[in-house]
Amino acid sequence: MRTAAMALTSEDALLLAQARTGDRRAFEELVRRHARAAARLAARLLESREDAEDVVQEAFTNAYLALTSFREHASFRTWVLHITFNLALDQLRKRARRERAIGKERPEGAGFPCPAAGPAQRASAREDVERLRRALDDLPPRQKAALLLKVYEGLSYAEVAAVLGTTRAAARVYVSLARQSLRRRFERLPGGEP
Amino acid sequence: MSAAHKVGCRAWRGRLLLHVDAELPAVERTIFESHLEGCTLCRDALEFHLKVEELLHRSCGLEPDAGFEDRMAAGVLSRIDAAAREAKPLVASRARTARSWRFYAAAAAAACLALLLARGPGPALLEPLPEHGAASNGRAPARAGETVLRADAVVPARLDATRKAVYDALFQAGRTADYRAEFELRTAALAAEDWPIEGIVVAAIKAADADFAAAAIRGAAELSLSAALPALREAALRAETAPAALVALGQLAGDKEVARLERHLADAVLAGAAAAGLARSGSARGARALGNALDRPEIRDLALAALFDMGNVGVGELLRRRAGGDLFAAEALAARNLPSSGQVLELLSTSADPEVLEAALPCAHECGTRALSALRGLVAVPRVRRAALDAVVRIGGAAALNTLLNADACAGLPAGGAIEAAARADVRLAIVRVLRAAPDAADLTRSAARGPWGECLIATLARANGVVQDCLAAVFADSECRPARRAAAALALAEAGALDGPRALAAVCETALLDEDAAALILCAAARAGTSAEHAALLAPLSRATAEPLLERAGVIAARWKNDGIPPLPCEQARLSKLLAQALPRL
Repeated sequence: MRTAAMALTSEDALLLAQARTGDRRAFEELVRRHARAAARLAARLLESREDAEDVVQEAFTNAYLALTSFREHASFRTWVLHITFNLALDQLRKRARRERAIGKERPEGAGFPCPAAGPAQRASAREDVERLRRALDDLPPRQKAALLLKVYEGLSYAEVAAVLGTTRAAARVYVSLARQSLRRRFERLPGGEP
Repeated sequence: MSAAHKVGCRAWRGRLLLHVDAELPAVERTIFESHLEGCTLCRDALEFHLKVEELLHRSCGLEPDAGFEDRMAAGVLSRIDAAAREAKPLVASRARTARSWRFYAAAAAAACLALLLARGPGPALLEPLPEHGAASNGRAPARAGETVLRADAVVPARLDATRKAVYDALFQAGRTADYRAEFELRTAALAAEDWPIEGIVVAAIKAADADFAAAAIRGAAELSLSAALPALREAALRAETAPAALVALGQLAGDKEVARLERHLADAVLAGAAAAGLARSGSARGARALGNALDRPEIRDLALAALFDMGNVGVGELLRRRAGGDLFAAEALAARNLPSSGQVLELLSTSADPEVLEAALPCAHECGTRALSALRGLVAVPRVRRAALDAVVRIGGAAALNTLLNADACAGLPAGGAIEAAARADVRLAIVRVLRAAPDAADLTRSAARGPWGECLIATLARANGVVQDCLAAVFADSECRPARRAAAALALAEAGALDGPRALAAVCETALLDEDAAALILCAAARAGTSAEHAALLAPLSRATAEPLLERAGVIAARWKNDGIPPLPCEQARLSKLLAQALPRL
């Protein structure tokens, strides 16, 4: 696992070097490698497939325009996730202002569709997943992002910290707070424990 | 559930998430897994977290569809192309935005200077402006360079109308990002040093053009132009300029403006600007207003963000608003947005909210020894006792813990907690003192030895003497204790010549199936204790399949001790061999 991760990072470094010389194919490959993770993060934060895709495209575009300033203190993946996270937060702030102004309700049903799930599978998983989604969506964005990055993306605490722009200790606390809050919120929702 | 078990359970709760993240050290993981077998509370908690992880992985709606990568790659490359095509205008636009108010102010100064030169003394500059568009007199906007160079050509009958026309022209000039024009305008503005910048900015704030006015408002705030306050107040009443004006007012004005901004927090449209203004004010009153807004769900996020933006004052307010169960302070602490160690100290000294205290205690060491007196009080709070003791140890080490344990204030401190903290700090004297004072020293040690710091405790006790031998014997005799810890206690007792050999062989039988290494260690300890071949019958409960590898392992351990320079007791290996020879035929 470690070897695979290191290989991935070294391939990224190679692609990054090529992209810096103007090789657009190399950058396209970087997009293909990391867009999915960025989209998952944005979709969970923004609860909208369209907005998430827009944010991911903007994040990669910004990354491309700032390639020369990327100092490689973190991996390319972490850097792109960091940009995505910040753009998603901006989007959330704008949306909050807009929704407050027009009194709009939060949309139900977030993110990308799940093509693999059949009707029976959906029915059995729906209740738990729906309750988890509701509990998750009530979390503050940073906690939500920290938990998602740690659990779903499998990042280390150091990487989570790099994405959120905070310290490793704070990232650990965010994940911990998210788990504790999630449990409290989850248990309060109809249906009790999972 | 016994009291001792509850203590162990609480101890594990704090480390449960480390287990979920697979970050628990191997030794502790083994002990924890053993604890889980008998603790439904911890097992439920663990199962919940694992279930959530599974649900998160199963959670549909996160995974993009199959053509996602192609779509993204195409979209990103298309955006990059677009950015490349617009690279020059983009840069120009950015430069214009960054210095827009300066540009407008300079341009206005230049234009007015040109007008004055062309026209001589005229009406006051700050007369009310006509409606936007009414002043251009049907003339097409001039280019920026032309505005300056041919100012006399645009002098109309009324100065206001002229000024508006000039503004229009300058606005167009800004849009064309004509650097040459901007350079000329700036040069002209420099020549107008005696022209009061305040007057120009105020005039711009009053302009009907919202973008123009907003640029001037930002400029006024940047220059801290108190002369612009009346104009800003007027601008705050105009819908199109109100947001920028409210932010600037917060920054420029005093308590009266803070009160005005506080009222605007109730306005759905202007709440964001009002919150930003209050944050910019940096005043305690502004922080209190934002703190009050936390109770209103519709602007709670705004207020929270603004309080964080305020820095020390805002986070201080967050910490003060630590109502029961409120996580604001905890989040502030978690984000390491702490204003100062003084805030932490205040929190530790005054808060009664365990949740906030739990969040603050990991930061207690940042206060240094000043925190010790507050921590002394907190060790009496059951929920935070462990964290408080840990903080004491982290700040002052053995000396602080000794002082704490000697203090009258801690007379009620449960000895179990003290033993654990002392074990963590490897404070032998403190442990011995507690154990000597405790009537139930053996029971206390037995329960503490089952906790997460049990190994440390036993290692500490092994270096002590006197009363602690009884405690070690209690640990060794505890069949519910982890075999590895029983083995450590057995070795310490054997070293001190206090291990009962036959009892040790019985313990070998008890632990052989649970932990072969621990059983082998106890067997070695039994050999050290002088167990002879005659006692081999005590190993009879073991099956041959269990005993053979066990005895072989004990031989390896004894040989390793020898290699490691641990002086073997006389005939240790010979005794083991004899045991082996005597025991195996009986099995």
